[in-house]
Amino acid sequence: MSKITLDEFELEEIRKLARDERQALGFVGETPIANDIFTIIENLNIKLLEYPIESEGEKPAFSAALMYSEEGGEELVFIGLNTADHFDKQVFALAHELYHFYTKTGSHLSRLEDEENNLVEAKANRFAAEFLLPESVLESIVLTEFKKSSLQEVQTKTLLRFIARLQCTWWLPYRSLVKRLKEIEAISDSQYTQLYAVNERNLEGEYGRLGQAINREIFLKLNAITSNIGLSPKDIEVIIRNFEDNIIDEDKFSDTLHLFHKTPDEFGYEFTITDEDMDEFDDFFKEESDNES
Amino acid sequence: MKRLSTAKLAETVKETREEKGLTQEELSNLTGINRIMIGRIERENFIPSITQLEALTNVLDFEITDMFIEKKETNSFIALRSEALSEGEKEGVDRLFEMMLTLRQQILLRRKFENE
Repeated sequence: MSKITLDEFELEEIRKLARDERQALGFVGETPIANDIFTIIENLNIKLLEYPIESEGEKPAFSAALMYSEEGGEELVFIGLNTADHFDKQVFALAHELYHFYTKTGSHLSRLEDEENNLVEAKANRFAAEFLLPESVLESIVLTEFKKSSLQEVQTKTLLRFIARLQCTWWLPYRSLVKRLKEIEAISDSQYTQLYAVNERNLEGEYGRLGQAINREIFLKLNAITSNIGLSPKDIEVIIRNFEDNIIDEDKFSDTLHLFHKTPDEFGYEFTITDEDMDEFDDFFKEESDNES
Repeated sequence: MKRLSTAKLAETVKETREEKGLTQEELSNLTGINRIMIGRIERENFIPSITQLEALTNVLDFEITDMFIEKKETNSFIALRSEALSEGEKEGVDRLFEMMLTLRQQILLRRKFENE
């Protein structure tokens, strides 16, 4: 299947949408969104649920899902994020889902690398890149740094350092940055192919070492697989208050928190365990140790 | 497809009942629907049966068909699950759904509590 190429009109629409939404959120010019994407999601009242889902086989991993639910005329919006992915891809996936949120293109699952054959997904990817790092800003950075808009004469080492610095500031995945540089025609086809072939996740490799030299803390964070499970503290609060107002009982409270990998204990609630439960516990551990021996 | 709008029904029942100067108790006597159920219909908390709906329209004089609104069927949760997932992914996505449905339930319980 051939890859989808967005035409000028479609690109302009995406640029405009990204610009408007960035502005509405108070991000102007050279202000990176980076980690603020999590606050943005929360402020838009989108419920973020995190869970690590390992990928299998050749297919790119499921990266995120946007889900709508309508109750009594009010819309509830959820984003499910796969945290078995590298952190920079998680940030990108969230920005991708925001496109679907803003354009109301419906509930769906996304696989970041698989979707360039689908027009809406290609647009969402382009939006994510534009939202995190606007094209005009990238062009201006290139021009300011190199005093020209073409980097075709620039050697690979310099380019790698440049990309690593961009990555640590703007929190885009390495490959998205390479793609962006190609899109603004700063690099040639052969430079693109060469840069795209770099194993950017190898922390011992050339790029990995460069990234760590530039900003170790952020670079390692971007390359980490967080495997987080849970939801935002604001939403956890709903569950705790429901318990405090006697809307749910102790069991339901424990079970619900457990689903999000939390315990009542963490929030200062200790429940007495009945003898019956204790027996069940003992049996369980006895069985476990029997199995091991 | 069209579906019954509990919001529209709640509003219509409450408004027409008050217009006719009826209390919930009086409406209950006229329609044979339990007073508590009438309260719940007005709070969008109960969907009446067709017979009860007919009794309400007869007494309060409104059109049943006006209570139905066009609803685009999304069924998005189901659609999501069928998107070519491997076994391992299915398990993970099911877990995400469980989290989502649980949180939704907690939010709805909260809303109901705060509106009462």
